[in-house]
Amino acid sequence: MSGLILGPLVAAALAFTFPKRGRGMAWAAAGVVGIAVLSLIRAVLGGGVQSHRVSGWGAPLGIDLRADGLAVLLLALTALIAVAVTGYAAPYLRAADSPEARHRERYFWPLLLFLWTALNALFLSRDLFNLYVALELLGFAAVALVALEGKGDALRAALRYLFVSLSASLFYLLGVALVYGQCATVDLALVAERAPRGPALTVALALMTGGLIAKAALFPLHFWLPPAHANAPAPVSALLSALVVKGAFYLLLRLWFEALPVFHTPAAARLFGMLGAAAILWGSINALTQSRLKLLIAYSTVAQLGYLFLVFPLMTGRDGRFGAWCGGLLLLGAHACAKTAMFLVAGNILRAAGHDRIRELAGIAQVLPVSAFALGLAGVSLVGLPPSGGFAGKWLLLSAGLREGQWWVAAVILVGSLLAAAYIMRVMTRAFAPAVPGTWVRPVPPIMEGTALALALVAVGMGLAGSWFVELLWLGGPWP
Amino acid sequence: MPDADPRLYLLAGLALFAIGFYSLVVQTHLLRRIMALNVMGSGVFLAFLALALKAAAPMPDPVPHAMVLTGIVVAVCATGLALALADRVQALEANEETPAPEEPPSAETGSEPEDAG
Amino acid sequence: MNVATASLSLLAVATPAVMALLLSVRPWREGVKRATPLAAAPALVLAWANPAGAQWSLPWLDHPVLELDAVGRVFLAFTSVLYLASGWYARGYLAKDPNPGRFYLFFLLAMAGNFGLILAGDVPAFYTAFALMGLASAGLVFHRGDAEAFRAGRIYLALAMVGEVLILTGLVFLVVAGDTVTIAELHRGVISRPALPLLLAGFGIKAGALTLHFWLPLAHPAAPVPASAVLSGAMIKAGLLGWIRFLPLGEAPLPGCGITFIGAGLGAAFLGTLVGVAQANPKTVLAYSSISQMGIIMTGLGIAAFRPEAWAEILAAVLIYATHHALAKGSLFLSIGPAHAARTRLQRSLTGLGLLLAALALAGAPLTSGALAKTALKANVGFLPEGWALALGVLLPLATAGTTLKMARFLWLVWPRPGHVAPAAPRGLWLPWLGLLAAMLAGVWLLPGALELLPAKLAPDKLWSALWPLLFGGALAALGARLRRWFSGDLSRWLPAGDMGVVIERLLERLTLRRPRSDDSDAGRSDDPAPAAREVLWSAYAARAASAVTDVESRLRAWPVVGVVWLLLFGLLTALLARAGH
Repeated sequence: MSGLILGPLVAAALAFTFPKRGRGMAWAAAGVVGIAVLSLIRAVLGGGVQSHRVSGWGAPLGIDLRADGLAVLLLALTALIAVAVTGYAAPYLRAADSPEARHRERYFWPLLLFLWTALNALFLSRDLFNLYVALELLGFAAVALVALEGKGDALRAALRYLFVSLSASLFYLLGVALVYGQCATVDLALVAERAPRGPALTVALALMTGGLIAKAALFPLHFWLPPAHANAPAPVSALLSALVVKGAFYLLLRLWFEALPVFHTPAAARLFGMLGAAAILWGSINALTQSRLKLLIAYSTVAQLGYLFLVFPLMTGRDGRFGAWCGGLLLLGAHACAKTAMFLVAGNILRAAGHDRIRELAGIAQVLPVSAFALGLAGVSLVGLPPSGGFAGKWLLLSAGLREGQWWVAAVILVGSLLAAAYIMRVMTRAFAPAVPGTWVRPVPPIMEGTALALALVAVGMGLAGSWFVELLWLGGPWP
Repeated sequence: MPDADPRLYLLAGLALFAIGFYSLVVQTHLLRRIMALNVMGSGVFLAFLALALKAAAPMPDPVPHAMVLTGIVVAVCATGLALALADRVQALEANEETPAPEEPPSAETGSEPEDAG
Repeated sequence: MNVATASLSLLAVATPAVMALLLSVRPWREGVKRATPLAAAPALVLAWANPAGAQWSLPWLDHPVLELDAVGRVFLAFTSVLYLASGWYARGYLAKDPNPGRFYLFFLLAMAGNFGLILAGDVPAFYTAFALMGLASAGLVFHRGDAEAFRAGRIYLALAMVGEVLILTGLVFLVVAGDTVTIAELHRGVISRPALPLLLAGFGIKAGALTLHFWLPLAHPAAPVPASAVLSGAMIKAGLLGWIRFLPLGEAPLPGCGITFIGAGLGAAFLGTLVGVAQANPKTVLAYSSISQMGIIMTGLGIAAFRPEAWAEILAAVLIYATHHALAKGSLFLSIGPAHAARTRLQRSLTGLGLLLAALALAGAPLTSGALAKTALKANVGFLPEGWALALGVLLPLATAGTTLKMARFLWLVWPRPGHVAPAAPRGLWLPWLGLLAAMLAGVWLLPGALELLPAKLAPDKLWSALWPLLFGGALAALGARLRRWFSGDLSRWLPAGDMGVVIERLLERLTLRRPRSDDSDAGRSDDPAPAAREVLWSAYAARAASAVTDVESRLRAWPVVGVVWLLLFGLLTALLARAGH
């Protein structure tokens, strides 16, 4: 289990020291993590929740790592996306042999590996303070990756992202301090056991939650996301949209349902649901008005994150609990794959056309048929058409909503689907229009198109593996 | 000052946090905002130390101290990263010859994507 | 479960799907294109043989994913025949098409979806297949790639997406209420009231029900002829099958549904006639005729909604009508090619005969499949309360007269005339057309309960009641033809295809006229296949809304606002969390 953290960490250090070996290090880390994740999945499916005490020290003083179904699922998802991005980034970064390009490539690999380390640490950590450290590492790597482009817009977006990320982390850390003051521990399980009811922990939960929703870009604190995600290089945008924002969401799930489950109230959960609903509508409407493809995709992320927060109000009841949990996480996985595919396609389009202005993108289907197909498939999953993971997730959320009698959730999901269809169609009708001569100037290497397609296929096929998801998520989840 | 009420430190920490957050939101100069973040961080650390005292033991609890040490390391890294980025932004803006070098444009107008509208 | 029969039901769905995938393998592409009609063969064999236990499931599920039941068998039979004939026809029809590969891809995918939804045994399988068919047929509508096709395709897609969403919600309601995903067990005991309007409207879009029909006369004619045939013959029936499968017809009286069905059905029958006869494009006339015919079938469902105990008989009648309409409408569409290409006298008389046969059948002339279908349906009008029965007894024959009128219009538009110089005829259109015609003449009589209706049909008074609407419609047509000489120009200018849809479009276009200047320069450069003025999103109204959205969004980005919002959220959260904390 510690290989999952040490593997990419060592690779990152080596990639930084030996810049020419960056890509090799990424593949080596991918190999190590891949094997570790697969064996961990087997262990969890076979023997339930797995834990590991780092160097033999246990909680409360030492560091405990713990892998339940949820953690394993996210580790696997991270590995999948990181591998795809690794495959894609090599030709992407070598587009031009300029000093800037070499500089970019020199720092991309170590940062990618640091990001991966931070994510794995986040998913495996079991105490609030370690989670803080992992969250900060994640934020640093993400900010540096956004700044990699080195242009004014990217730097400004990165700086804004850093400010939000740091202040959000401090909110979270203040909450951790209050929790420690009350429980004299930061271990998730021990906190859940000891937590005394009272205003101090209520404020602590509010502080931590308040920080995390900014990191998860929940409406109306999504303001930093579109510029950061749209101005980063395509593989970085993919990582950010697919994984980094999900890290904060994951931590919220742990806090609300594992560490302090007795503290959340239906009213607060409903607030989350309403903000999520507002995010779906506002993000989709903004996506409809964008003139640049990458901004459209970034706003679509804002909308899709909203769906995840619909899980909270549905988790307050009895009947829909497990369905909502599974539905939300299936949506998370499907969105990660679909959104990565979309950003990679956007990268291909940028490469081929030199810009991503939607109005001038006629003929993608003719020039880049594989990319256009990948975009369409990813769109199928975002809209929630079967058999995609997006469909399975929305189906589960819808049934949970109807079972709980919370019809407004169902209505929001459906309106969101229609809006998603509208903004996807905006791009797709353009894609099928006849190409204008002179629009498409540069060829795109097949591997860049292939990785996008592979991820889109995973997103669409994920619905078929829904039962496997459900089985895995049952293990170690917040059920009696 | 073993006799001072630890709650005082806690309140002071919270006050620092609030002051820091206020400045972060209101200030436009990048350096000041980075300072503001550090003030916020100091507030959190102070709160940690206060809570370590609060435990009804003769000696303060060492675990929060360890956490604060780690937190300081993280804060130093963060400040370094922020300063580097701010430096690059200002250098770029100086190149672009934007007016008012005293008060460089704040990030929110700066990071408007070119054709977001 | 017998392995051979189980695999046959899988084969029926998988064959077209796999062939669609194989199209991407370049060396096999030509072969797959030529073999496209055969993709429907396993489904036809399955429908014909009807082996016991033809169900297939995934190993970890305890219910069938694919299953053939009595209703599905009838649908599968006419659907597979239609795809077979149209696929065969397409080989000739698309000989000169610049992009036949794309057509075959979408055709095969639509076929897989259509067979899949007929055979589906559980709700997710049905919905998946339904969505696949809906999206793939959009590809068929877009195929021609000109402005007209783009307009039709957009309107179709928009309505199809709304339909998908309505149906999905309705189905989830059913599944939650019935606590099962198996279609056969959905209605055991529970009826989910909120699902009814959702399913009525959702499937109504596919079936071209009144007020939701306006995409249909645009989309069906925009597609290439073989695609129009399956769209109007087979895919439109997916809406009907959805109603049969998911509405609790025969379980309980549903007066609301009944009134909706009968009202919308009769309305569609007459509106279809009114607008249909004004059309100048023969394919549009046929599309309007499909709306009318589906309206008559809906009337049947409406009767069943009032009288659940009559469901079995009405279902038999509805199946007969659906089969008859699918085959007749298919052969009418396919006749367009041969009629256009008829050169010699023999060819002209042969197409003339075929056209006349199919048109008479659709109009319900005695001894045709249409007459059988109408007899079957009228036999059930008696189930209704007195006043309703009387009204329907008058209105249904009038609808038949309307059908006759439309058929006369269609014949007048496509009739092969000696002076007409035909373009170089694509080969291979005749055989599939004649084959489908033969299927139309024979097919309906094979259905259960069809032959029993024969004696009743031959009674003299029945014969007369079948004949008079036809004669009335014919007389109207003759009168109309005379009157037309006095009109100059095209009636479809006043009653354009897409009726309501056109009104909606015009309204949106009016908003476009007040477009701000800043947008014009951009629009001028755009190479939009649809006129820029039609790009609804960028109408002045939308542009103003968009700029308001962007404005709010940029305000949300200012740091002081962020700070206030963040603190507000934090305070709200604390308050809400504190509520139950004590």
